[in-house]
Amino acid sequence: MTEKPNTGLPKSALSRLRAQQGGGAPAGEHPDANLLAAFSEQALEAGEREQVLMHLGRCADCREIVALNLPAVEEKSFVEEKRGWLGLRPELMRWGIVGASAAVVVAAVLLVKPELESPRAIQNQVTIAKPTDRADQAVGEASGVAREAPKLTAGVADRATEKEAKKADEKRRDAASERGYPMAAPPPPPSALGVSGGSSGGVLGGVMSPKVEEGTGRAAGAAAANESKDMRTTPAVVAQSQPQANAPVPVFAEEDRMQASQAKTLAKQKVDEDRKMMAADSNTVAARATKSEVSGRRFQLAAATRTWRIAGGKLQWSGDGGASWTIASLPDGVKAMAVDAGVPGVVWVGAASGMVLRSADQGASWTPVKGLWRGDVVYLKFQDAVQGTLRTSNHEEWFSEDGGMVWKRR
Amino acid sequence: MSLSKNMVPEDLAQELFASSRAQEFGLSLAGFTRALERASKGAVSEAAIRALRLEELALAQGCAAGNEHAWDVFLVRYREKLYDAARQVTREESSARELADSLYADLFGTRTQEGRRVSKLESYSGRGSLDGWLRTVLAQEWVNRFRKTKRLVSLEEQEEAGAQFAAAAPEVNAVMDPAVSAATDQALAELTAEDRYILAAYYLDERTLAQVARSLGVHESTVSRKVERLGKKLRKDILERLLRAGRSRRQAEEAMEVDVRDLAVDVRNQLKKQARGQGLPAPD
Repeated sequence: MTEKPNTGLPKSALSRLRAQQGGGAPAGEHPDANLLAAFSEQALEAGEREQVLMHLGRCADCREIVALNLPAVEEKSFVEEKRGWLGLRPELMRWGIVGASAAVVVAAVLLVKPELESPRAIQNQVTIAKPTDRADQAVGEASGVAREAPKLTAGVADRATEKEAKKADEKRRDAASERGYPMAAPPPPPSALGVSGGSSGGVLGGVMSPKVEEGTGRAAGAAAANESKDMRTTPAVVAQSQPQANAPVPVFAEEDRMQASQAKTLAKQKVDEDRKMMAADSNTVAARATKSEVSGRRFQLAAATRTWRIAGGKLQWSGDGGASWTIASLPDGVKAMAVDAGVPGVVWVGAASGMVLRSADQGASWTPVKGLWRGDVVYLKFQDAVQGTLRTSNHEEWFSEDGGMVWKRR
Repeated sequence: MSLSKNMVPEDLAQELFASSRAQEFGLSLAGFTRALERASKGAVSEAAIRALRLEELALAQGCAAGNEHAWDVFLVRYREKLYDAARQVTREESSARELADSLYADLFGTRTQEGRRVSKLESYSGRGSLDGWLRTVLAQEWVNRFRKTKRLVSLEEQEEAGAQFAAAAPEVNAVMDPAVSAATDQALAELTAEDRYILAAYYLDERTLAQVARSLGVHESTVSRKVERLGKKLRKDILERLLRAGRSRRQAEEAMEVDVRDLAVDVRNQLKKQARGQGLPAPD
């Protein structure tokens, strides 16, 4: 038996803890719903709370009830407890300011450098297409992804020189036109697409689920993963483990990560600048004007950030801290069941039939994410820019450690 | 001010009756006072009574009494939330609908007792929010269903998930070293109720740190630190007790890392080997 380092609970303690379960209370003496609900809401007095905790320490069923009773995190975040300015919690306010500052910086740079932003690039934003057999359009979509990339990356203040940007642009265009959506493996040749049609080689707005092509050195697709004994990784992971001449270049994820980290830095700089301005002599007219300007800007920055929720089976957003809500436009047939917007600038939506959508532009456009999970996606949460958890109605739990690029099953 | 057992002063009851919209929901002062007394259960302070969710209590009692306006308000506020909560609990649309509908029936009161319709909403005490109470009742119903019925998992699902088909439970009862067991029990007995709950939820139920933290109303980092601290504390306590009992350090450390389930598997494997050696069929 391999020696493991002594971390965590000693096994003997784990065994005894397990053995002592079920001794919390005689049958019929479990805390009632009032007590358990009040416990979950921290509404019990100290003595009662202690008694409930003593029971919970030994009763797995009651612990399960408490766990099931916890409201969904996205509800708690966006169905506001009115605590701070504009009804936002302090953590959300911070992220809101950071995200909004980043958005303003990006917009300002775009205005300053119009030559990098062409109307065509704006028109060619990736949008969801209906799942029809569109081999030629898939290539066009992939090109659209590549064309969008310069707008995203060039908008960052400290972007490399224009020449480097053009080189990177060409590289991305080539890569994107070859393999489309980065989450799935590279698509099969057009002839294979024509044959596969509506089977596992179906196309979904730039998302390809190619058929298995063993021994070709190409990435295995969803069918391959289904045939594989190892069900714990998505096709993208299998692809990356096989060295290829044309290794997949993650079109949006890498750029988004760079953008997110650069935007964070810029936003922090902006916030620091604001603080310095606010620290100016408060008696001077200039300082008062500055404060007013900063307050106004902050108000505008905060207002630029949207909060999201699912209500009545519809995805909704609010730009005014929850005072009013607008139903978001999603592709036809998508029934939203979970939403997460904890990462600034990125919105994730889990929907029925395993559909997952991602937006990097506050819901103006959506990119579908196709994975191996089954059932409805009923929970989707990113703890930070890279770590995310997804759960389905089939009790599957998947996690990502790279911002949603690769998902592994727990 | 402490109240006498089950008695809410009339002036307090009147004041709270006015502020809780009880009259709007069809309750009389007497009915509302009875609800307050049931909710308070034993002598409690005036502050505790005032901390109750009075408007929600009045709404629940109004619904239990069959008041139409109360039901209108209840449905507008809680109908969607109930279905959302059921979906969160069951993680499946059809089961969620069935669970929510079944709860609605209980809330409405399809049972009668002594000629009177009995609604589950009567038991809501106002200690926590009505929303939280409804979610808890849903969760209780769901957990009870699982307790009563076996969960059927298809063989195909198990194989696809990479799990081997479950073997029968071992017939041999592997027993931990009594000294280790006693030392561990003593160390566990010294934990606070909250510490024990954290360990059980985190290690036995495999909840995430975030989930445990949310159930306790603390930050995730607080739970993370506690888990780490408790692991170290238990390790140290058990080790000290075993050393005092005469074990060497090495023996004590080895004994702490023995899992009873591993012992059971080892014994079963030994029995299989012995049976094969004797040409007998191996035990399950």
